[in-house]
Amino acid sequence: MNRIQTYWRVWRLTGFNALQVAFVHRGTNIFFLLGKMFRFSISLLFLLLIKQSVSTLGGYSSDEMLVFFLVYQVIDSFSQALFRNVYVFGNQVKNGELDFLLIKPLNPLFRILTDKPDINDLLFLLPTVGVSFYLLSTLTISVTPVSILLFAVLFVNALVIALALHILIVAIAVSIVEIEGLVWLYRDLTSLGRFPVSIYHESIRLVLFFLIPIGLMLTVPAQVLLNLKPSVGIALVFGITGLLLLSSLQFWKYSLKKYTSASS
Amino acid sequence: MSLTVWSVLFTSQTNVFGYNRAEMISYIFMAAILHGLVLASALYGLAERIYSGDISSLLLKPVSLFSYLAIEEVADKGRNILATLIESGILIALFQPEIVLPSAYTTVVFLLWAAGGVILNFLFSLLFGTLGFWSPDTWGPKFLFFIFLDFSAGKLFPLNILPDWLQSALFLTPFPYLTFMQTQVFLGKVAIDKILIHSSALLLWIVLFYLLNKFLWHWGFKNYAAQGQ
Amino acid sequence: MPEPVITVRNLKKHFSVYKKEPGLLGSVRSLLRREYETVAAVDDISFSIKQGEVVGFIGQNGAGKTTTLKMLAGLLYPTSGEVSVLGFNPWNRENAFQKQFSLVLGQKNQLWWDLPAMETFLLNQAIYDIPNPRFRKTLNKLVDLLDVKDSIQIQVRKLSLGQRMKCELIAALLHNPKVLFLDEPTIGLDVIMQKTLRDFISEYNKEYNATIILTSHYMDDVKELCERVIMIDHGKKIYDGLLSSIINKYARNKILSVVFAAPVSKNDLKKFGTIKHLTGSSATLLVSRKDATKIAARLLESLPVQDLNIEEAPLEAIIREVFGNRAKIA
Repeated sequence: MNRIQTYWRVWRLTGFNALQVAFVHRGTNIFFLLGKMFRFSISLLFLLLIKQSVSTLGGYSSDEMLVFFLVYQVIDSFSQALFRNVYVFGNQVKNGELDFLLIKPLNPLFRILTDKPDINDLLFLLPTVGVSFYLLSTLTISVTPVSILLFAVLFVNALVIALALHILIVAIAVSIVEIEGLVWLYRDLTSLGRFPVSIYHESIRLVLFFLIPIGLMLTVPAQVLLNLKPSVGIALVFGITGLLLLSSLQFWKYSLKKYTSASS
Repeated sequence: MSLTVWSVLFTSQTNVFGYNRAEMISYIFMAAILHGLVLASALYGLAERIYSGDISSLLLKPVSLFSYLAIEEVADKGRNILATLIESGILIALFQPEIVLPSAYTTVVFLLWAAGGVILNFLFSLLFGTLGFWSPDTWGPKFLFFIFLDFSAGKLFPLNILPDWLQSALFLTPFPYLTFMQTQVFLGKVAIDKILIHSSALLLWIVLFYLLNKFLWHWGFKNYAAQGQ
Repeated sequence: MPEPVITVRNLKKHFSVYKKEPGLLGSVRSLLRREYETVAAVDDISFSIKQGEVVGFIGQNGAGKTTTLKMLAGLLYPTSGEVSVLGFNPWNRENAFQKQFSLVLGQKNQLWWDLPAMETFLLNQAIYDIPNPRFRKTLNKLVDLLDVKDSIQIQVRKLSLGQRMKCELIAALLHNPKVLFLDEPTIGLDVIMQKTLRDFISEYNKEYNATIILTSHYMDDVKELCERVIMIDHGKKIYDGLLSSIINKYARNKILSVVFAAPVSKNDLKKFGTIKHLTGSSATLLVSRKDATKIAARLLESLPVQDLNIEEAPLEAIIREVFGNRAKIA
């Protein structure tokens, strides 16, 4: 219990510090926020335009497509806001800051992943969630209390998948230092989840459900919310998530051992 | 990425927003190639270089700053063009899509406009560089600009799917002239009698931004010297 | 006799580095068949350190000092050998151990760049679970000792290197570590700031009876802080003992620096000692240690001396001699 309190205090402080830093660079951050808003509205606009001229897409109604997009938006923003520090982790390895994290009495992964939560993304969550709820109320879709509950569970599961994928990124980055490419690969892959992964080509679909489970992270929760038959059984979703988390932790341990065996 | 989305769209439709399948695929390829050619720039770090004072060492070299930056830009473009050509070559060989090919006349117009787009983007990059005279935090504005550019230059989707009022609004800005109009002329979607009008618009934007740059750089250097950075 | 705080037995660290032949051809060849070469960064080192000792690690760049420190801190796995710090095995990285030691790397920083150092201190308070009253007490004391009351409220990026280093030290010491590893803590600082930090380290050592290992390129640091030094060369320990006995053993010369009222010639000076340096009217001479005072007296008599100083040969030169001798033996 005490340990959890410590972690919570540390996280709160880094979050508060990140907020202060954001204030130091407030000018530039306003632009970032505007940029994100703009991208969000453009994507929405695009979907609405498609909705006007196309009625079904890969077996989904255009209203349902919109739900897939909104689910992507919310889950992606959450995981981005939470696991922000990976973006600078490459630098931390390069300039030796990682050494300072390793000698502290705190699991190094915790700070590697969650340091400096992105205030922009947190702020951005407010309007997107608001807009999402508004849009959801205007759509003709079948959402029930049970489906919302199940969605909530899968939402947490999605964050666990995001966590595992970020651990993998960090673990690879420890050995190759270069992280930007990896992070962008991850971003590109998740952005495939803007649309239900099940509409893609067979081979892509298999990869996105079972290898790098973007589909389990983004598509399945939306399907469940919509009371549609999920592409992958729920039990299997949890199974794959657990397996992924365990193997990513194992891989992290291995990488760390390799890192600490390497030259100074 | 956008290729997969569009191909899904075209499984149920033969015509989306006035584009048939071949046209849309050609559009995506052209947009990607032009993106690499026109919008990628070696000068995105210019503002930081100015703010940190790094640029001073360039001022000491016996070439004018702008020729130096232009050479840097051209060298970078060369590399980019090669990379995009190889990339698209591989993609085309793999998927063997039907690509719409333009006539000789439109090819000439296309090349001229592409060159215009390159110059216009170079002027944009220089303009962003001047931010470095006043502020160290230039990433925010640049981020916003890139996002806007991705949209307004037609990278995400062709602009003609937008509602008319939005299209007309966009055509009051220089952005569609960076890459979007080039793709349109390539696909033969610009009427012959409109070519002259659009060419003059492109030229006008270049002249305007040239003058704006001249003014801001002059002002910036004065400010620079005054602060002794 | 008290139990040693740090015990190191037969510690080895080997890195494998792959050899690449120069040029493009070499790169291609190394893709096919890499030849690895094992470098012994630390090669069979043993020592033990008692509580409250301040020990200096001396050695050239790449001798293995930092590697040894990192192994003691649990940042590097050793190839073989045993290490015990405060009874812990460092690379288990247990919390109980990590709360009792600290590592300061002079060329790296842990402070948040965009914020005042105080924010990092508060963060470390949370990380190390330091109760508020104790945190305040320690912080006030450290701030007083280093005289940085104002700096800790200023954005770190705006501080001078010296101020920043002071804040780094505070951040590293807030949890009152019993064991402290300092890797080049004074690097890049001006002479006055170096002195301040040295005084502070010595003060901290006395106040908390902390065990300190220090590496530094500045022999003044070592001379003032460390009674005992461990010399490392090519990963091997070549000396472990009192600093003063090295000086007595290896320093055969003293240095006379003289300023004359008028220019003197080389010939006039030659008979007093080896001329190290002579420009116009100022000169430095190397003379044997035991005759130094006598020679100085003779100089004063026979030449128009305006100013004269007798100095111990710099520790750097002595160390160079030690390493040089070793090279000859080897």
